[in-house]
Amino acid sequence: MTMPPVSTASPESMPKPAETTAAPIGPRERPLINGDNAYFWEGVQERTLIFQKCDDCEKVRHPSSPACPSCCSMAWQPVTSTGSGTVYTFAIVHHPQLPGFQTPYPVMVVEFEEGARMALSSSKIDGRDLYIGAPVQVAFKVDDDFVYPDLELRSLVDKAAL
Amino acid sequence: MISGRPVAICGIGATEFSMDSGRSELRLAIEAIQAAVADAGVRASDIDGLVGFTYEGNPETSIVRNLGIPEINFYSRIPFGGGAACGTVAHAAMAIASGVAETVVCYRAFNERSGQRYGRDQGREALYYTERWNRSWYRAFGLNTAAARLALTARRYMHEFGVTTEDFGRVVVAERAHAATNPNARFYGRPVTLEDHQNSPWIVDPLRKLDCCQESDGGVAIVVTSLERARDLASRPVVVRAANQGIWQGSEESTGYYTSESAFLPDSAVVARHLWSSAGIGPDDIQTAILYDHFSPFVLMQLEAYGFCGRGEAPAFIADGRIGPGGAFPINTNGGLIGEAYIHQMNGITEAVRQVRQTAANQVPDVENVLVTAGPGIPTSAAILGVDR
Repeated sequence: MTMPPVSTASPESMPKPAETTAAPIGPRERPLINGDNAYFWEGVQERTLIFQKCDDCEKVRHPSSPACPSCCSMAWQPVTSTGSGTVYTFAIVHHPQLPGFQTPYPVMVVEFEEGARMALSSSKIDGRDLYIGAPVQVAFKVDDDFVYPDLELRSLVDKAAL
Repeated sequence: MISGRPVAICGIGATEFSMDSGRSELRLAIEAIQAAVADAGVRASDIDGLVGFTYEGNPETSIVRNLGIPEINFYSRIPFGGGAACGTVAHAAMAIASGVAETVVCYRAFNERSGQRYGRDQGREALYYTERWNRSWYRAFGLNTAAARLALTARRYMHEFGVTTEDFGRVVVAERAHAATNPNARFYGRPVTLEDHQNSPWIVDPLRKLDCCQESDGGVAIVVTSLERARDLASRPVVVRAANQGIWQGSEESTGYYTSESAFLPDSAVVARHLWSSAGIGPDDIQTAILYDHFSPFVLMQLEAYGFCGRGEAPAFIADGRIGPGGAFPINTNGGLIGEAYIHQMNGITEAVRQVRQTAANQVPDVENVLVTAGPGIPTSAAILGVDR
């Protein structure tokens, strides 16, 4: 048996990591799910948006947490959102490329009617149509057999209903 | 407030800053620490404490082994990326003031440009275990970089006060003007105009490429000891007047969007309050500042959070060239993370030291006190360094 040759490379001649400029492939990265946030992703698979509502102070909260940030109570109930909200802030991602996202794509923090804010992206909204205060409505998008919340502009939803 | 022995920075050291160091991160750390120890006029074997970042790739054991340090009895690491920078000085200062340690080195070394780049997706495995779940709320929606997450905060700041991307551009122009006359800066000799800024492509709208800090390879180290001992060493002591960290209740690592304060850098406000109180001085006592500039809008927001002007007033505050070369309040005189290099602001701390020593490439006259801040929009830290009287 022959041993592999011992590397005599000095630090100055270390190989460089490969550049990763190729277009991203593969599905969107699935969220991590544990006992604290399972209610949310289970709800999304059923095409509902669910927030936590504190049993004691009745505040609605997101992101999920075992204890209420307002009163520290650990007792809570799920509350189903109407999915209707307004844009609190937004940005348009041009770089980097990510699997499951088509640049440029808008990301935003939405203030929902129930009072909770959540950061979300949209595959349906043109970033140039966005402004702070814009009315948005949750929609849903399936990627790799998993449902994600998506967003559309509510004015367009309303027009479609007419 | 740090009680106990007064503390000083007695040495600084760095490698060259580059886009491809051609050597290992450990070697960069060793070179930087050796340079800092030589600057202080102490021996590496005198080091009895080490403070680093949780993001640091070089463990204390490797530092001790390679520098021939017989033993250390104090070491700590600070979380939250660039928010850690001045926290390293705070931890070192507390260890020395309390008598736990005598000679503490704060260090940061990485191949952040030729190796793993923060401007790209790091993958969730780069995060600590619980933090993976927190960050998963954002990764699920394509918010995988600091630029994307903090662009949301920048946009809200614009909305609150009618701030424009030209206001961001004026920060960039001032920083690049400083870098243009700093031979250690990547952008030495390469100033930009407001027009260049406005023509710069979007990374994450409202952040253009020129609004974003660089990605860099390099290492920086700082030696901290008691002021009494520093007075007997090779370099002029730089007194640590105050060094503080801060997290407020609504904070997250770049995603604290959930309260009405989110556009006002509430972590920085916590640090500022404790810092001014601890040092017993205020913004009027500061001659120059090195404000963390991962993204240019956050320089404006920090001018407000640290009390140099009121909320929403920073664009007007800087409009007359106040923060650029020869201005009434030059800041980021090394060119900042945008113009000099991105060594997680440890290079900003060394610039603050040079300003106090009167050895900076873009020296501000009559410096008594310098404010240096760590990454804002995340749990953060800051320090005030001053002249020994």
